[in-house]
Order: sequence, then C-alpha cells, then structure tokens
Amino acid sequence: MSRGALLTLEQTWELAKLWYADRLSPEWRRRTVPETVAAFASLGLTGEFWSLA
Amino acid sequence: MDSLLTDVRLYIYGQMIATSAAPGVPETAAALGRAVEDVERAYRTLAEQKALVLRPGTTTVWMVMPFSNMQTAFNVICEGRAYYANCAWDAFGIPAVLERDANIFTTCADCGGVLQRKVACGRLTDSRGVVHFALPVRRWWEDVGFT
Repeated sequence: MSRGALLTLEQTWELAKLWYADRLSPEWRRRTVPETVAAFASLGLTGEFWSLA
Repeated sequence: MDSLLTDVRLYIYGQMIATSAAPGVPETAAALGRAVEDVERAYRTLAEQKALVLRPGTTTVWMVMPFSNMQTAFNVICEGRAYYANCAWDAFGIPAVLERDANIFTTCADCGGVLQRKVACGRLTDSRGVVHFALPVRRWWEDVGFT
C-alpha cells in the first residue's frame, strides 16, 4: 500500500492559495485534468502520486 | 456554468461565509426567487460537477470546498467566526478563499496534541509540521469523505 505524500505547511499553504484563489468568482469552473496536473506541477508536485493520467 | 448554477453556488458560499452553515434548498430558492424544484436540480448538478458535495441521498450540503457543513477535526477562526474545514489542505484554503488572517486548530495525527497555526498578512507565522496525503490524486473522489 502507498505511504502517501507529505507536504510541508508552506507547500500546503501555497497549494491552498493556488487552488482556492478564484473560488468565489462567478466565472469559477472546475479545473480540467491537464489544468489540475499543471497546477500541481507549478508547485513541484509531480510523479505518480500527483498524476491523473 | 449557467446563470442559476452560478447564483446558487455563490449564494451557498455567501451564506457559509456569513453564518458558518450552508443553506438548504428552500432557503436558497426563497432568497433567489426561484422554484424549489429548479434549485434542487441546481444543487444536484453542482454536486455532479464536483463544485460541492451533498450528504449521500440528500440535497443537504456536506462540503462546499474548502468549507465543511459538518463538524470536523479542522477548526478555522477567521474574523471572529468559526468554520470547519474538510481537511488540512482545506483548513488553509479558508484563509486563502477569504483573503483574511486566520487561526487554524486541529490535533496531531501522531501524538494527539493540539496544533495551532496562524495565517497573517498572507503568510504562515509558524511553518513547523507536515501534512499527510494518504491517497494519490486519482483516487481522491472515489470516497471524498475519506480523502
């Protein structure tokens, strides 16, 4: 079984800001799969755990 | 996202932020001046789109991310109001959404001790600690409550 992933609190805060920045916008829409993968990658979150392929 | 879906989604968020509780279908329908059936359909559509999560078999909001409409182990105090977050990530998501300072309280998954972290002026004041993500991303929506 996978041991999962560990993020520092700084990484988690950066992820939260990126993920929720536009949530209250009327134009908000759910990210597509490529957009989600790119968002994670922009914070260095890559590899099998963060993949949606 | 069509106009009704947007109006319903933003009304739910607005009420969650103002009251710490998500409104039910009748309240939202009355506030928006729309038929209950139309708003109920909007709740279900928003859930299908993963814009929110409903309690199983109901139209009661469970999660309107990052907020939880049920008590959780992640308590966030912001502008004098207490909110529940769905997980550690979402606990930081609340000050991110509100763009406000916040105090986050939870318990350590290792020792059970109380943990408090603060976001002030857009920064963490104490970044000690880690967050464990148990499931890989592709499995997050298999059982989002567990995730």
